[in-house]
Amino acid sequence: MKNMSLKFTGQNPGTALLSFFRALLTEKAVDSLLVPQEVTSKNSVVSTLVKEADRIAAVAPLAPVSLANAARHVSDLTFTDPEEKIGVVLRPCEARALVELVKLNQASLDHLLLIGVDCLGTFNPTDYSRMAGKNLLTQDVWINQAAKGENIGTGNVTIRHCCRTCDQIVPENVDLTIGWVGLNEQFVISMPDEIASMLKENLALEEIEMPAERLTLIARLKENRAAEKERVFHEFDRKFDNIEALTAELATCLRCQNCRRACPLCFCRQCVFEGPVFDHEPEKYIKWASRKGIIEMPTDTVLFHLTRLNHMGMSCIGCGQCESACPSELPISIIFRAVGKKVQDLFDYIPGKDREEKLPLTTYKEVELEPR
Amino acid sequence: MVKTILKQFGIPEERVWFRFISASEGKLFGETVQQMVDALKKLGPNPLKMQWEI
Repeated sequence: MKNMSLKFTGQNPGTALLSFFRALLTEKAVDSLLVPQEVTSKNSVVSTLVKEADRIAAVAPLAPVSLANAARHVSDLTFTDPEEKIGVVLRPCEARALVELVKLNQASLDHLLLIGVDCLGTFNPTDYSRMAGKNLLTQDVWINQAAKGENIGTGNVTIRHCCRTCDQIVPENVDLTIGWVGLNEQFVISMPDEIASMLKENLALEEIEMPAERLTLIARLKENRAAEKERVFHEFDRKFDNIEALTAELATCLRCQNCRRACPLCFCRQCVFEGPVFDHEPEKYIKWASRKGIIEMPTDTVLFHLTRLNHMGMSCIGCGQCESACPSELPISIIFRAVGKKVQDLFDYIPGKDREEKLPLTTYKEVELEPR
Repeated sequence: MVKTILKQFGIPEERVWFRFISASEGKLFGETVQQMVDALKKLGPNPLKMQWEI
């Protein structure tokens, strides 16, 4: 691995990024690219699959917004052999989700170049859209304002609260990392030697040592955010120690299942909640209502969330897409992360961390049958 | 896992049992079910049963 410096001036970090991604395609480091781009109206950034280098003019992988966890798209692209090398750009939570999807046989890494990017967090898509529409927030604005780890809000709007408690700023399990946090007027791109030699001349890259101030800043931010995460999880633990508290919090749940659709780990083609198991016969509703005197319709709202916790809590990598997708703005990402953590701790399992480590439920250890 | 999740929300873990019983152990199965029924009768109905909002 080599750390290569890609310089830019304050005004045009985006132009430097653009030249980098163009070079990946023109130098044939990859055949195609999955990369976020700003839409024509500039008020959102969406994932795109690009074949032609001159079609990525609006490339914006560092814009602080994410409409979907990109690991989902990687799964779509590698479910069977794509027969070409695809470069995919991933935030840390997306790289973690991809590790889990590979373990669940929903994606393959065989034909990919994983391009990780530093992430300080993303805004809710609607917040981003509003600010980007007024030019208050774009990729360039963000890189200049947030590279020192401060100013992660704009006015009174700040990054999603799931991101504020995320202590992974630099992605793991990727082949190449685009670093911008803790740097000034340069990206430091850590890349395999062969890609460095392919791109070096085209981009006038210069090999450097990783700047110490970047490492210090990232260590400090990690520490602060880990402490904040600890605090939030602890608060959750105290507040949600009874089912009434959970029921109260979920009172505005529409059971729309957007959280499930947005979850990169909920990969089932048919969810148990959409099948015959929960398509009850009318007489069943009447029976329940007779027994209790009254039931809420639709039924099974709390059960839906508890079931989802049981199904994917082990692999919850904490991207918070469930919460961004929730029309009732329920704090489900915290519920899933905090309870998920407890389930993961039972097996000393950290989802998204280690490609080689098996999913706990796919392995059997005799000791697990011992009472505890 | 199930117990961990339920415990978080204050549902007593003794309401959920996991036992490994082979298909040839019919007697053990019967005994275990009897034990579970007895234990549940002692615990009484789940208070959640009467909550309509759940």
